[in-house]
Amino acid sequence: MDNYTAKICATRRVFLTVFFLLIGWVSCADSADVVVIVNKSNPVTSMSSAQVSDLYLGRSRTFPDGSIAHVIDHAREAPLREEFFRRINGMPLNKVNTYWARLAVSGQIMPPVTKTNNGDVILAVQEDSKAIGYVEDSALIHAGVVQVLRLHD
Amino acid sequence: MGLRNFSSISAFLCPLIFFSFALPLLGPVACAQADEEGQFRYLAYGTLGISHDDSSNLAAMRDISQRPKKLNLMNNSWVKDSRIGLQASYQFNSYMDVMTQGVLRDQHDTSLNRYLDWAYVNVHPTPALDARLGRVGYDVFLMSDHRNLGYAYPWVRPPVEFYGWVPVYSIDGGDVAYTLENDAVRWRFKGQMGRTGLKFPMGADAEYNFKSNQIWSISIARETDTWRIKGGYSHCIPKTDAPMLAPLQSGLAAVSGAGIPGVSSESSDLLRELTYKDVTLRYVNLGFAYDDGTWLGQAELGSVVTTADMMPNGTMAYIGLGRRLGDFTPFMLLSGIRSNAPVRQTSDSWAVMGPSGPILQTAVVQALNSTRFDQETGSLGLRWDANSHVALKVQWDSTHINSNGYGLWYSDEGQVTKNARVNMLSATMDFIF
Repeated sequence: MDNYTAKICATRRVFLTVFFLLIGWVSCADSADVVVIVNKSNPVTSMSSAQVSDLYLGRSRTFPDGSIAHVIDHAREAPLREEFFRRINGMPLNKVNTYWARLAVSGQIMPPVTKTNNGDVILAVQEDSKAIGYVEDSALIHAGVVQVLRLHD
Repeated sequence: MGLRNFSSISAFLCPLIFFSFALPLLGPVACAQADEEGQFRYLAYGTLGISHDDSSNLAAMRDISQRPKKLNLMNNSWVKDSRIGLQASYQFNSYMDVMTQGVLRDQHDTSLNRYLDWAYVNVHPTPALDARLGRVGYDVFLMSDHRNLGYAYPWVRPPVEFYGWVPVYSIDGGDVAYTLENDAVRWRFKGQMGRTGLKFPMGADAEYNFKSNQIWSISIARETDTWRIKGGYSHCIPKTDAPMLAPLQSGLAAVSGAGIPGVSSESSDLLRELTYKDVTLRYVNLGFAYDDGTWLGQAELGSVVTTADMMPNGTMAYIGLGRRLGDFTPFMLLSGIRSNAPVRQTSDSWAVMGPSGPILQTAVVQALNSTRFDQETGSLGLRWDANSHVALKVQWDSTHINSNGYGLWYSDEGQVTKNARVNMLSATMDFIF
């Protein structure tokens, strides 16, 4: 094997390694669990997918114990939001967006407050005893919140 | 009396509008004074659209509150579907919020008051109960309260046969809604009451200043993950008449009192039909919407009964079907309307009244036939969700209009006694931020 061929092989190996690392990273990101969280003072300790879905579709305004819920969502285009709705009720993001657009513009219900990243969601849930949010499992290293539902892929 | 009533409403609405749009300008001050639940929300949405049709003597409308300006000149219209809306709201706490919404759209009535769709206080003492006071969205049909939001539906515009002749967007008054949750089913019962007003164009340079102090409605909606079913009933009595009808009404009254066999009784019948004032309108509607994430469909059937034929009435229906293919949604739509009012004909018998008799009869018959609707439309189109905020649509409509059924069009006088087919191509960009 001459030097030129060896260089090509080495470059190819580096390229393939980076490629598979990227694929692996993307796969991990896709398959990471999504966890639904509430404030630690909230007496609710677990919720069903249907209960969480109803809150995030504006069909319910309360936790299972009847107390008011402050729903915190991610930005409209956030990949985590798409993943959350796909796992919680199977709705594609463009259906979710048109659904909420109709509710918001018709004035039926105030849309959820939105945050730009996992950290801001966790912070908002920490500070509000009535809040509910969802984040990636890997971001859940903060105290002050309680996981009430875990969504696997 | 009427002016005073509307002035008092404006006096109530103005502080609401000021509150919602001006308070945010205070920025941090306002936010700092709000409790932990205080939230300002803003929403901007709109449509930029163009349509082109192949008719040289008809001009299309999205609804009958519009007055096409360039009949016979250009068949392109930028203004028919284009609109922009701005919504601002403030949530005081879990029990109360205020909301205002203005929509800039093409309409004959250009007074500032008409561009304000909503301005209300919403109180919900329990999570299941909502009570709104102020200017609230008229909510009877499936799409009544989000007609201006093109982003929310697949097609370019709500079916004209169904929504084009009900241009009441809001009422000044209030409503109460009760929501009942039962497992995966959500029921919503709603009642509205108040007054409304709107100026409609009539012909080239006349208008009808519609005002009603008696408009109310009730609706029941059932919603699951995939189905939305809504039934509604609405009742309205206008208290005003169109000035352009006054000379015709005077003429008919004179003929009615002349005691001519046959002619006078016919004149009395026409006089009873030729009015808007104190006519009772009753709307009944049933709608279905289905969306499982892949397939989506929507259909509505409605009927409007009036106590005088000058006020538009009829039976209307549509059905739409679409399929999501990733970000693309091809769709089809069929819609139609038939007037309940008979086609009026002139007769020779009015010649006994002299030369003015047939002229009066012809004018009255034309006026009554001008508000009839008799047409159906087939549409094909494609929606592309370009991103989370923008949807691009293209739609082709083919409309068949039956003679004396041109109430949804501006037309040459000679056209209305013939059938016609109009093809229209529309493209829009709907956005929401």
